[in-house]
Amino acid sequence: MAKVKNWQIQREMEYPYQEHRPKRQWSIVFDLNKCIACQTCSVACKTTWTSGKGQEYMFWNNVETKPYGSYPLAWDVRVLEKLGQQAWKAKEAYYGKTIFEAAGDNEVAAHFAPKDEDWMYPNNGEDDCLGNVSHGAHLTLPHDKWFFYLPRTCAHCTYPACLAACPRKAIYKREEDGIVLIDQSRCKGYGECVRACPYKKSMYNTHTRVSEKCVGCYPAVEKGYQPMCVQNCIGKIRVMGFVNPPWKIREDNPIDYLIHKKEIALPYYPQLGLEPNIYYIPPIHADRDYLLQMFGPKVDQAIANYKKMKTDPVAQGLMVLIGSSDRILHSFKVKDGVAFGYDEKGDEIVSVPVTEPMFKRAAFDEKLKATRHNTP
Amino acid sequence: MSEESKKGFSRRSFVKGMGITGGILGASSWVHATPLRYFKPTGIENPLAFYPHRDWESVYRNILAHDSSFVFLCAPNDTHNCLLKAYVKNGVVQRIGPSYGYGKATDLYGNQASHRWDPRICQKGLALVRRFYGDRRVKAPMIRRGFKEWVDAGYPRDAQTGKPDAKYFQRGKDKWLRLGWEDAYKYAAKSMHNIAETYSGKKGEEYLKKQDYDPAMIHALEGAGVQTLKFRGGMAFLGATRIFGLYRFANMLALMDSKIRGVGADKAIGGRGWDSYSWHTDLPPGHPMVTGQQTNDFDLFAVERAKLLIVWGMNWITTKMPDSHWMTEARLKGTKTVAVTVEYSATASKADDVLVIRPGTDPAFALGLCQHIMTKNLYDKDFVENKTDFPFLVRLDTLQPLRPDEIIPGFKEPELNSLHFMKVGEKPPAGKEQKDQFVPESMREDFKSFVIFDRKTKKYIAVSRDDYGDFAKKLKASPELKHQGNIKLVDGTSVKVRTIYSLTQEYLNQNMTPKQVSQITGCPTSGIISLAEQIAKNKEKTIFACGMGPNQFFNADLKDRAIFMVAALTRNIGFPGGNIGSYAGNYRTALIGGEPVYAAEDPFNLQMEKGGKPNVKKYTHYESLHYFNYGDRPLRAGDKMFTGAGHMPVPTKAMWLNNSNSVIGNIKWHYDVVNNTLPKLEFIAYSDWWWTGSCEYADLVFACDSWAEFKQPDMCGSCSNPFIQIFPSTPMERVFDTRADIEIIAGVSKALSKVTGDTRMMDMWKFVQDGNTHEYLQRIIDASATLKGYKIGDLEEKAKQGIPALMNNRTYPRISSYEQARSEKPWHTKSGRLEFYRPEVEFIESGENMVIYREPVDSTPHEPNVIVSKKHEALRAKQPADYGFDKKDVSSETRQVRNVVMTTEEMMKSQHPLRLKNYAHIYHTPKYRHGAHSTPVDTDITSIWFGPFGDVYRHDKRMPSVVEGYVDINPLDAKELGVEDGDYVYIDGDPEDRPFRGFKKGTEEYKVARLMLRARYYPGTPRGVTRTWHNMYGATFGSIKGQETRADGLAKSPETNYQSMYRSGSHQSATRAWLRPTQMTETLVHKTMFGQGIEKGFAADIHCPTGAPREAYVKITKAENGGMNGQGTWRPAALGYRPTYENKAMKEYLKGSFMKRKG
Amino acid sequence: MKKNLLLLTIIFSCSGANAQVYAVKKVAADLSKTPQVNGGYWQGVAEIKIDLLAQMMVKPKPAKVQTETAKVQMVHDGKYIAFRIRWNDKEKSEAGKLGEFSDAVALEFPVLDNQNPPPIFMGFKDNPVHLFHWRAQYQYDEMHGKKSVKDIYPNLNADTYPNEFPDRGALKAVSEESKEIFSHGKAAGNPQSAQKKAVDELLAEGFGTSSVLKETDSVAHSEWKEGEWTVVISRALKRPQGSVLEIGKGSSFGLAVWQGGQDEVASRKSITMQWTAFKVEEK
Repeated sequence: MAKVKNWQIQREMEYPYQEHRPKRQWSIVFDLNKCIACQTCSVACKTTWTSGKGQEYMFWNNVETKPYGSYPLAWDVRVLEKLGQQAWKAKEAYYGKTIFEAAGDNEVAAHFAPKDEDWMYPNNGEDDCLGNVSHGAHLTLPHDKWFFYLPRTCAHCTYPACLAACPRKAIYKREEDGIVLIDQSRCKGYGECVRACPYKKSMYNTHTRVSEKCVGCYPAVEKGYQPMCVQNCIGKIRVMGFVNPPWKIREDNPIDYLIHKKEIALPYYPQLGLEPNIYYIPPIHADRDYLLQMFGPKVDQAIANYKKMKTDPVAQGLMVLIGSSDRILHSFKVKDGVAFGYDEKGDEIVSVPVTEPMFKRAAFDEKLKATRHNTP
Repeated sequence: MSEESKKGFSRRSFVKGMGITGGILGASSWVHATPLRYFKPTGIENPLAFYPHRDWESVYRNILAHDSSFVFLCAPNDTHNCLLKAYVKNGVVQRIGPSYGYGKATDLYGNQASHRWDPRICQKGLALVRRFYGDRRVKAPMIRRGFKEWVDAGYPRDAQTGKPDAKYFQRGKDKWLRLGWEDAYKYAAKSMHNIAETYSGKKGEEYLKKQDYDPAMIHALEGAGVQTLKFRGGMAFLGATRIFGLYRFANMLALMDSKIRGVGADKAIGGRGWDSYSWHTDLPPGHPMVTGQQTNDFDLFAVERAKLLIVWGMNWITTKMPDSHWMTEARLKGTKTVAVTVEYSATASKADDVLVIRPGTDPAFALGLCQHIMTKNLYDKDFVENKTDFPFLVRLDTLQPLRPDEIIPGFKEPELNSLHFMKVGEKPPAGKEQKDQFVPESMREDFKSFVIFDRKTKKYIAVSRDDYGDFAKKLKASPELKHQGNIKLVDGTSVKVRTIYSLTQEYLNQNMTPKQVSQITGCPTSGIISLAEQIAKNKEKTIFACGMGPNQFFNADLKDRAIFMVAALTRNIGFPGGNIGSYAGNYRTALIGGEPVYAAEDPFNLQMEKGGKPNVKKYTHYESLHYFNYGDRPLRAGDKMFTGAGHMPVPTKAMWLNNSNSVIGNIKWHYDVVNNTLPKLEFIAYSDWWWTGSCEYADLVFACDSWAEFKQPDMCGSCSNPFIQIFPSTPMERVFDTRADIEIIAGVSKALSKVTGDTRMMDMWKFVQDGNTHEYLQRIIDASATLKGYKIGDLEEKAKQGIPALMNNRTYPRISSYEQARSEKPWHTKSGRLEFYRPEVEFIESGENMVIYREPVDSTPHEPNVIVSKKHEALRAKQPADYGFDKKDVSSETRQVRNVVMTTEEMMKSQHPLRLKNYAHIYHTPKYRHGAHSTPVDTDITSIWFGPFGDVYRHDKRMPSVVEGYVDINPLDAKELGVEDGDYVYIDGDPEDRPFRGFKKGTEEYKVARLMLRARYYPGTPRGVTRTWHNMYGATFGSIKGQETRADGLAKSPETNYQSMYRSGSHQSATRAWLRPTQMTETLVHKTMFGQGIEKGFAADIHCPTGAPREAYVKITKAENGGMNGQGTWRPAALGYRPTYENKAMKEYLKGSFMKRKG
Repeated sequence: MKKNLLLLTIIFSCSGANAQVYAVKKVAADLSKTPQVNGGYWQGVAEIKIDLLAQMMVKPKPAKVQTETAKVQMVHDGKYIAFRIRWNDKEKSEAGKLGEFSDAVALEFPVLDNQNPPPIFMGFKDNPVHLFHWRAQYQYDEMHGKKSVKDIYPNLNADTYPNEFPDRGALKAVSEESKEIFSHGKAAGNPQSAQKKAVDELLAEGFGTSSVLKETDSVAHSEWKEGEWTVVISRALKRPQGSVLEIGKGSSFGLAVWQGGQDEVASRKSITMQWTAFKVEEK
């Protein structure tokens, strides 16, 4: 076991390999206040990557309704159960156990091993709320009956449990973008990654007899394009880019801006110790204790910061810029009610108005002899 | 091949890359074409830092690489219409993606949409890649064996009744045969001709009498058998040429009629057209009653201009998916968001405030808001006095408006500027040039002046239609809103008069106080009051986005009238940030105003010249499909006919529909239509590219090109976004023996011209045969105000790049009532104002002259359809005795016209008649995110997400498909019924008529029709309210056979491959058809479909029945255990991860206890 | 640190073979053909009782030893040497469904120096071991063909697969290779994704390094009866790029057993802690 730095829990922790951060780290930020659970991301991923034999049940990307939804069944309940009750004080390091530290003498990581039936019902819990709406109601924020949607891809963790657990070392992290891959030519399908990944994003293929996972759409990313699940996100809740650790922040980088500058986006289940690289803007209407369990003690501040956006034209600009291009935004700028997105070279990719303009046309076009009615 | 895929891996690159010999395993049952790879023992230090051989990564690059791509338009019934990009590899579409071209859309003036519109797509569109090649494609023209035998036998009929022998019509149970295209056209043409001939003239009338059709329907036929042929382009707005083609075809049949009956063009009649928007219950029927126009709405992206957004009975997040970001972005930028809903819905989870009410009580809820706003004087004086009829006086003796000539001797109606009266024979200007409103002179009486009482001078003042909005100010009067008193008429008599405002306020104060409304709706008074006050605080800044929910109840028009009242009182109609919209289905063909030059081109006087001007003449009568749904009957109750003459349907003997699954497959009261109505039909044809439940019961099915295979472009628009969209022709080769919809119509027409010897039927489609549908599209464009100036060629080229164009309306976003709010134009009503009082006789007799509240007609635990009111002098509804039936008769049929009045307190105490028989649940069937209507719900990778029961491996063989239908029920209700989460249950509607009239237990028909589905514990729905989503495919005779005979137990027809998602029945097992008197009037004044004309009475999609498909009161009984193969409890519940079943860990998890806050 | 010490001591103590050398008699049979599990030539052949322990060198480790002893018999025919291995396993596990693992057994031989074998734990860098890895799953492949997903999930219902349609209509037929583009393991040429012979041959130079050999001429057969597996693995004496056994000379073997029903796979296994020496007799 090596000692590695995990900034999300603000301390060193144990991990089977020495710390090594890639040149760039693939990352997605999701605004859960915008996710509509349409599953367009899931189907975009499926039609691109997992439409083959043995992949019928597979969704590298899925969206589940929290708190009752899960794929595979109760994955997070069962992992948290293994970890047991923990505590985390706001503005302090997490001193509880990570799954590596709680692993015990025989295992690489504390985990639960999903059974065949656990992969059934990918949308189990869809739109089920917590609390019984037994009759008419008047709810205000935060709602005392609630659910929210949680879209999930592989988090291409800085300290992946799948990689740690692979007996063949057939799982590796790419130096150029931090994407974590299972070598399809060397994997022997032992399923150790399926067991160890707490997010359950490694999946076994019964036809090829090897395990597979989200590839971060590296063939698109290598060409400067966003992953399929991001390109196809009609809720416009996602932006993929490259996240820097707190000691290397670049403020005009959309990802750093949301995570580090504005502090409105948080990693999920950071206490597990993987330093996952997908980040979430927490839903403002859901129960705070539940959200703290999922996003850590910074969640209250993140929600407060999110609400401040009402008066923050720059943040608003970035939020409407998200999803307006299929290319990767390396930097952005907001000026006079217009948001601009730039590529790596700093060339403009796209620009959008913070408020869509209103065009007024003359009631009658003399040239065309055409009326302009709004009630034609 | 593209560069991309050349770089993709090949054997060579592997061998080179690895420096390791590849070898191929001996061919076995498992052909393995790719060389296997062998390594030396491989030791790796730190896989975070370095991995030796990565060349295998080309495997994934090669998957993403494509050879070519093309764009097609995906446009199901969802109002979005998305240009999608298809990626091709090895000559097969491998995947689909968005075009990112919406931000490049421009109008005629160079205005451009922004990329905030991108991407436009959804999971259903992406899944089409599995549908183009799917095994439920209609792969060739198909004919039902029995039908073919009937035709081949020469259409034998019973001498007395004219009916064919039932043996030829075993629909749904019969075999299917492939046909060649020419034969298919011939069978269709001959059959339509035979049927039209059979039912024409005296002989035809005799037959129909013997077949027991209502005399009024036979009378409406006018002896023209051609009218028994019904046509429907499914949501025709989605296809200006190919779908509207069926209406052009119907109009063309006037040629056949003139041959058959030997009449000239002056007397010839076409086939009948069925409605669309009103059929789908998408029309908000109260909108024309208040505004005179079909629907008041706005492009959804206008929401970011509101400060308060009320999403009312609309599950925006699931049914307007590509436009959801406009809502969530408005919210993050500061728009307060409120959901008025009947459950904790997806949309509720995106709202700041959530108001949960009892289904169907929306009118009461809105009236409660009005009561508070009026009582606290929070209303906008100027808007109410000048833009509504509130200040107008009503005579209490007649309940008619007081007219100036009744009190002012010698008063003469002024000549109106706001309305042009057309002399007989006078032609209106071309549609695209119609600036002002016009109406036939014969309707002059409908536009008489009104009277107000001036607060200052204490005088009665005449107000004409010209005195609307700001023009009212020239009267220099301040109307007394609450005036009431006696007035002397010119004839000397004295009558009591009251303002509409005071009549309304009295009703509200008596019956709709927040306390009473809280009783009726279940919403706490705090919710009613806080919402009312927020709305009043946001004048011109409150947007009401209303949806299909409340629209699908019997009292829908009252809901519209009441919500308009809230908005009118608070100055929130016609403003960019303050308006009302109703969102259900797609409609408003008027946006393509030139449509008539194609759909109603005069077949006797065809324009054969390219670029020539077509002559328009309508030979077709339209009728509402709800009568067909009702058993091909009008509404008769007691001794009265409630269906107005102008609405009267004729007997249905043949039907041909395209692009539609809403008229058989997913029709309300489906099993009644299948078992009681279809047997009366002699020919049913469908044009479709997917085998739907409608095809299951057809006689002839034409195989159409999928959207990706279009060879002829088409055009469509939307009511919720500003784009004009082209279906571009594509390079994709036809996978099966299919044709374009419009080619099929042309083919049948050609065959008809052979049958009749009239070649004009063939000429009717000249430009289709020339492969130049563009000509028709250009004609439509040139005649459309919004499109004139565009060239179809350019539009199609843009579409091929994934770029649509903008409609040229008055504004972007389009905002209904924009001109009216600015007093540029009056509303299309009698008074030119928003009208909240309806003096027409049908409304008075129904007790709906004022905006009142009625209970739902079936979806209520209380006595259905009662009017809730204390005694009110302006409420004089006709009672059962007046119609000659017993007051105690609450059967479904009489219930519709039963105007029994109860106070709030009496109504709350009353009971639904079925409650004594263990019926205890409202059962409603809204639409959801996993289907656009029913497209493409049965595709594996979309349906797997449809609810909690998806399992592609079907571990439990009972599953009808990879997913299955379910009912959402409150856990507390389920426990009372002894139903566990995931159990199978039966759901039975009113045994009087559901699942179908005259059902017999133990018959095959009943087995197919009785609804059996999973129960899902759903804490978000109030007790007593249950729900099944509307979109899934129902059980058919074929699907049941599949379940019983297939090894894998799939509910898939062995004969047709039709795939059901229910074991038996469907969500339509509990619904039925409903007809509503106030939607069948001869008197309601409203705008015409196209242009600025005004007319009255029946108008398809504007004023006609809309049904009540969300109404059912049901009994739920356990059928089977939910556990694997019927053993025990459904696994997720058994393991403790479902509501009310939580195990210890789950309880901790829900509380968030696995991470304690410290300090 | 402690752990490493322990490890070293174990490696040291386990690197040598234990005293006893077992003789392998020659039989009149062609062992290069699929061997007979209960063939006559097994009668009277001495049975070695071998003790196994739960693998404890690397994580993940089995919580407890699932297979405490295995019984091994050996014969040769001059060209091939066959090992008959028996152990108790109450359930037959051939894998298939998600999360299911196969029963398996592996024989291990030194490669460089039969007299001084490397540490028994999968060899060391530049000092490989030669493995013969039998799986019930592979045996099924050889006898019945590789299970299709439909075999595993008989009620499965998928609309289409890439380039594979229920009704191809006018589409041109597509080569197997371009179908396999979408089957990742196969597209990568991973032998694991191909139909297997009953026994794999591998080389390893330490934990996690093992790699399948392309040419194999070993064969295996098996029987599961009344809670006991009997597996016969027959290998050529001379395997040029692997371990070479010579008549009259000896070598030694190691053994590992996996109980799939107990979720044993990879390093979750019961193993011999010491080499077992044997001599290939002339007769």
